[in-house]
Amino acid sequence: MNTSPMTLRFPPLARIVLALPLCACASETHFKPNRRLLDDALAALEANQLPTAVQKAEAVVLRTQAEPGPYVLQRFFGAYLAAQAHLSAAAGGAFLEDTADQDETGIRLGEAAATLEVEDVAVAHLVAAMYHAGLGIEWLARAEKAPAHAEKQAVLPPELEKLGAKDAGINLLLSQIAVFARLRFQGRVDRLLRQSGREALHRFETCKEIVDRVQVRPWVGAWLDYALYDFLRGENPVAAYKFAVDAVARGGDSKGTFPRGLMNQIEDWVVKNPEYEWICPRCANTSPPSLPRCIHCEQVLVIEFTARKKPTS
Amino acid sequence: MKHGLGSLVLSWAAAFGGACASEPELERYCDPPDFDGFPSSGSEGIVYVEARLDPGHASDLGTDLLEQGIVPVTLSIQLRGKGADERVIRLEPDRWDMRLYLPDGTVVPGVSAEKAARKLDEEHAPAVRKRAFLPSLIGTQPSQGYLYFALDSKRFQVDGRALHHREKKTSRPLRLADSLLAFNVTDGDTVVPCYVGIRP
Repeated sequence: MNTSPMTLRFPPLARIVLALPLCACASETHFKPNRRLLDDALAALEANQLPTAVQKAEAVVLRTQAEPGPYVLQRFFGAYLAAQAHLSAAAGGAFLEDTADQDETGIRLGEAAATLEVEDVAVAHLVAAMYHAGLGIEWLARAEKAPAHAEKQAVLPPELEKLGAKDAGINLLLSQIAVFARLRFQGRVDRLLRQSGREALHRFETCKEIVDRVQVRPWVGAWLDYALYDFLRGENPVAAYKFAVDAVARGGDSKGTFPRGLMNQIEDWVVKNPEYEWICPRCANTSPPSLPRCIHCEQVLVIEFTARKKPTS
Repeated sequence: MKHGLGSLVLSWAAAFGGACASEPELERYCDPPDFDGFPSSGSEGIVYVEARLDPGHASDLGTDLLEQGIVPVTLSIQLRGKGADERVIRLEPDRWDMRLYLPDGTVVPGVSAEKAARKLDEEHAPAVRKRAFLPSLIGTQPSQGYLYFALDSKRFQVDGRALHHREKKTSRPLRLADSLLAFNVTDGDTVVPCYVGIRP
């Protein structure tokens, strides 16, 4: 009567136990194509072929949603790479392709952008980067525990394996902070920077070490500097100074993502600060924060200047 | 033996503690919270904005617009703080360029209440027109109303507050509430973009 031989012959628990190796075999058929997609996505990202990078990375994200084991890690890095590609696109690499197929029902990145302002397209990439960063962060805890090898082969390209899920997760979080700062959600930036365990970010030296290690996109570094300068300047102007000077230096090289007006504000804060002035430790003079070295002795980097309390009147 | 075991435990604890102490902040640091969308209220200078993907819009408008492929977003805007009584800041119909960025980056331009109403039956169209947000001078009292964004039913499928974006052979699941609303305000001759989330 019952047409299912499995149901006839095995009790439920046995069926689950028997099914496990079958599931594993079925899943293993996917890990290699996923690995190739990640290789391709990474290569495209490095070659600045951003639409291809997004397409390949997203294919991993979408095809492996329900699968266990190493795919958790592959899926996480798929989201990571898609986020990186969109972040790059938001700094001068927008997918601007002409098309006549535009209407009032949605303009898809990569399909169409001719009627949009460049900044509008950049914002679209920022939003998409947040979406993928959010997915990655959601999957981070499981990805950190997932096996990095299957069938004695690495499930990730060597560069991503070296970076590791933990540092990639930090990258995504820092990128989120930078995007919030760029879209002027200062309250959210402050909340993220204030959360416990973020003290390492509040010191310029440790922050720089983290930023370099987790390989954030260049413009992300500039906006992180700005976010931390803005966060610290009220309660700890001495700590804010190095972030301010670095933001000005990096801001000029962030492919137009950092407005000139913002750099002027930062420079004004340094030069006209009511509490402190920053002086060269060698010749005791001040210098504009936009210059790399002391304008007088030309020996000391302006970022290494020391704070001197201004006399109170 | 007891002493030996105790020493072992202590030395292990010291070693473990030492290892943690070498990089405690970085260890704890990597605990990012899940992304909970863009803030749905905020200020751009003295312009204060709140936006919501309104879960109660169906009772307000007499029909569930999402089921008909129209995303209704409530917008409230006003001037707050120093200079709010004197400054002339406005939303100009031909410059405010309202748009909704879906989480995957798709840009959906706003449609007028008239166009949104045309997609509905005659019974519900008047409420959609009547409750629409009208761009005008921004005052110290909040201006409120609905903005409408029309989705292409061939590409988007709405399922409750979830959205599926079909593209080629894939279907991308999106949380509609993670979208970002954008529009421009005009301050004198300067056009300033405003961004706000729409989390209910």
